[in-house]
Amino acid sequence: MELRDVNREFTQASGEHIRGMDGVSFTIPQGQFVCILGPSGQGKSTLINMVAGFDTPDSGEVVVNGRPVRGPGPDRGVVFQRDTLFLWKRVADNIEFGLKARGVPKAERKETVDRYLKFIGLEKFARAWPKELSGGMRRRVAIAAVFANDPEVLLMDEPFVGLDYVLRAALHEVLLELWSRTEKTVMFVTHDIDEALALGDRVLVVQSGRIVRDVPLDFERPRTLEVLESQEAAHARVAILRSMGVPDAV
Amino acid sequence: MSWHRPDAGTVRRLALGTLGIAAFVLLWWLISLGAREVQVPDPSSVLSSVRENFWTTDALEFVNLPSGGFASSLLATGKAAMLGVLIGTCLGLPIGILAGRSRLVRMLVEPPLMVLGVVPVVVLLPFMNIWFGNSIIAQAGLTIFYATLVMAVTAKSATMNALGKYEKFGRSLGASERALVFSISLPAIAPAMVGSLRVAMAAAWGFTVIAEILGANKGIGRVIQVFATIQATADVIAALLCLGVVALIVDAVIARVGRWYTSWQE
Repeated sequence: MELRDVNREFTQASGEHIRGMDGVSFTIPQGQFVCILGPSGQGKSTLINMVAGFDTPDSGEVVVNGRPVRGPGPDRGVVFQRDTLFLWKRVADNIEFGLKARGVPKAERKETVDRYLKFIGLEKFARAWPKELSGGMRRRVAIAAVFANDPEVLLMDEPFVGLDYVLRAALHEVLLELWSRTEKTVMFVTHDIDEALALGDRVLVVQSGRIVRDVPLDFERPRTLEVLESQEAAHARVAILRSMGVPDAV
Repeated sequence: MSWHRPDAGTVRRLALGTLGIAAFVLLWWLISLGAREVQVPDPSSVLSSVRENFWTTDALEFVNLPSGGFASSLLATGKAAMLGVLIGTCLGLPIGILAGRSRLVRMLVEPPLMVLGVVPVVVLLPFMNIWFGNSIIAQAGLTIFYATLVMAVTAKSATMNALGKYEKFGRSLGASERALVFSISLPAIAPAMVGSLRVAMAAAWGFTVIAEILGANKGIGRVIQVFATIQATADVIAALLCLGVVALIVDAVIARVGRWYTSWQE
């Protein structure tokens, strides 16, 4: 995935112009897990919308697997911050939706849905309505629905925001397991530095619509508490915090 | 099928509802004591009229109406009302969904919907008779007009709300335009549409009866008009009572089917 000098300006109701993206360029190799980190309102979601094809750059280009992005498509699966499960479809039907939309044969669909239901531990809830699930279960279904559709790139826009720390850690485990099995490229937007350190191969820090720092997270996986307490992780954390403008002494 | 003991809330609701009806009947009876029969008939004469006129009403033969009683007249009124709502829904739903999904269609459709929305519906009645004569469409014309507006406006707003939430997700999963309409927009707006369907149906009874009073040869509105002409007040109220009960039953059926169809709602 590659962004080449992407620019995007928004005009507010007051007439003021805001730069959502300001000359953003970077490349993400196949299979890399990249966290987009930064304070709210600095362009993280704009970035993901560009790659998803929900928004178009004023200039520059977004290229995924050698093809310029011209709009949304199943090659770029998106997990949203808000819960977007189809409430009128049962859990299994939600996971099946993308497969059916792409014309995957019924037997294959069933096999895929069963496999993902088993993986996320919700086999018994296959016929449940989304309203019957807890917040954490719903996020698991949303992730499974996107992974099951076999996209080349997975875009996640703060998918675990609002969940407690323990639940979030459990969902990280599910996500990382799916990622390591499928080797998808992941772009994960978060404003939580701990989440970025626990998940990413690399962190891109966004501020005022620009990538201000590209921090590789080369320390080992799985990211146990011990790993996250290591010198290497601490250095990465300090580098990220500095690039976000956090002063040395508060 | 097993019988479930009703919970305390249901028992309380039923008890209070019964008490409310009993209080209303008591008040009605008290008022009737001080009034002439032609002004306010007592509840028992109204009930007698229901019994006597429900299946056959001989008096109607004298004014060239079928003597089939309230039942057959209610059936005719019900048919016109439901046909009106059905046609209105078939017209309004696609207009609303298209307007909700396309800015261009919205810009075309919104002004006429706004203008027609402020027209007092009853003034259209003479046109219905001019255009459709004495047919069932003339009786259902007002309902068709009203239901089309109500369904179109609701479908437009509900579709716009659903688009924001679900369309991006659907598109990113590879849904076609057809799937976006039939698998996402339509089910997503169903709860709002059930509410509007009930509103349209409730209004339909009134519009149909007005249309019948002003120019039809059947229907409960025509029966009411005949009885009103001969000052048979108890019979008029009896006909209205039957109409109210039928309207309540139809509303309860729509609400129950709607609840079942949208049982996925949070």
